[in-house]
Amino acid sequence: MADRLTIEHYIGEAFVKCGQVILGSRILPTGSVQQQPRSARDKRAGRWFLLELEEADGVGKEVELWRKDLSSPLIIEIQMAPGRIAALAAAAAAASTATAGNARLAAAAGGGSSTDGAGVAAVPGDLLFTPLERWTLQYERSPPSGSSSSMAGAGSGACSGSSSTRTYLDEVSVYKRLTILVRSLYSYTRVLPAYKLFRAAKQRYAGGQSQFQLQYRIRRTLQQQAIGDGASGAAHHPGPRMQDFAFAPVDKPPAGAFVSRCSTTRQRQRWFWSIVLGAHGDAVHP
Amino acid sequence: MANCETHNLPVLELEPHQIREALRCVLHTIIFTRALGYVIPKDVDSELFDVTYVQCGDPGVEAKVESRITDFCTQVEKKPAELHQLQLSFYETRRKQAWFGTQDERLYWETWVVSVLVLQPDIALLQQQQQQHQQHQLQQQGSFGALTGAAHHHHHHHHQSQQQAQQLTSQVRAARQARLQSALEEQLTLVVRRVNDRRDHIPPVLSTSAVTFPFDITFSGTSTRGSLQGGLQAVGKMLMKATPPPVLG
Repeated sequence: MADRLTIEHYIGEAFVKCGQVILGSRILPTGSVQQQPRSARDKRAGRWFLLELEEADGVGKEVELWRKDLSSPLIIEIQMAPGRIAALAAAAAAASTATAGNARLAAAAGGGSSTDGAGVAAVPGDLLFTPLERWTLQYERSPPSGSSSSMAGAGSGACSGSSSTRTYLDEVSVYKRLTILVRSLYSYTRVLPAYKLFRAAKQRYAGGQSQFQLQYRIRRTLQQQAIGDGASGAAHHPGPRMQDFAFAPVDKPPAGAFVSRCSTTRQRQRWFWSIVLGAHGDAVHP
Repeated sequence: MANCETHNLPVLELEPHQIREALRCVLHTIIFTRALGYVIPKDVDSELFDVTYVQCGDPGVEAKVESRITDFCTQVEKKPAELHQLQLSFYETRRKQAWFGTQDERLYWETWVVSVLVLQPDIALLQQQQQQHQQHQLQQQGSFGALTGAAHHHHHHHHQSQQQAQQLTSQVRAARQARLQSALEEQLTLVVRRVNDRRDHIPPVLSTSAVTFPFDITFSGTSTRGSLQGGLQAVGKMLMKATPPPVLG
């Protein structure tokens, strides 16, 4: 399989896998998925990077769009909304109009989702938006080094035109590194404080209560950063409340990746994390 | 060991009853991130700490880790005042040609060193503090009682000092637990970071099992791995297989 697939294929699957890892450790599934026995799960998701994950209906299907389209980053924001505020948001969202920003706050029980292009619920106060984490996966294809005439011209358009003749170098190494990265991410999501909230929400959900709900929203742009970091554009400049944590990049031609994290601690012990996972794609050597 | 990537993790200061669980957190995290085979991860909520770590789901691995941790704890009990180090090492096995035949050789490519410093339990320390505190209180109350002649004041102050000592105990214990919690989380974060920092030294994946790379866990007091052990085995084989010299005429 490694000989037939391209690096971009691996990266796309890595996007999906990382998204599933993140959401699987933050968002409770809807419906009765939790009661399904382990043997009934679809194990197709486990093939990639040899890590079997629990599949949860209604959670994270949006990330599969990045399997085919890596042109925009995958941004997953995890936020907390107390149950009563979430109920208010649901009522307000029905009658609200779009405000600044390009994300919509979902108020479904057990988690919600939104994608770019929708408005935000007009619920006042930043209590509703209690960002805990932001995970960003980004793939960047760098211009070819030492390009010949066939590789002339930077930009993804020129590179993608000759993709059919490339990317048979070092796929195994890239796949192995992505496998390590996915496992590291799986462990890391369980170390962060937000996982404790997820765990508490899971216990309360099982008991018929849902005092705290973790919600998520998915974006395609790095603009409209959350409150506090003051960044704009693709540049990653955390604000004073933010901290960075960076994994070493999967930085071996023709693909590279980097991971960083921003966090913030506020008076009420809210943490805001941002993890940037990107991949630098290099042109293929024929 | 040539070309062996070594990761020295920060020292963990642990009470004796915490060592086992802390080592489980760290060792399983390392093993899981290095298990590049098909894995069904197993999330484990730590019994002593507010931490969730991940196991690779292999019962053999769990048994091996548990056994070595038990041995390590036994070692620690003998010399609790020393700094103890445990090493988790990944290796690959190669056949090596020797004079007397082929021999399996272990080539270690990565070692994680976990250092543990044993702390005195809170109870022992705080009991000393409480006794000192109570003695001080009694001395003060003794002089006060001589002045006033009221015995019930002595009982009242003694009860107060007991409450204060208990509060002190709780505060110290909570502070220590918080420090340890933070240290453990930092160590797990460091493991996750280090796992991704360097990957060129990782050998090819040849095994189909979940834990693709064999490992061993050693600590001071156990037999040394590597060439010394292999050499002794080789000498043994030689003595077993060697034919006696012909009798000289």
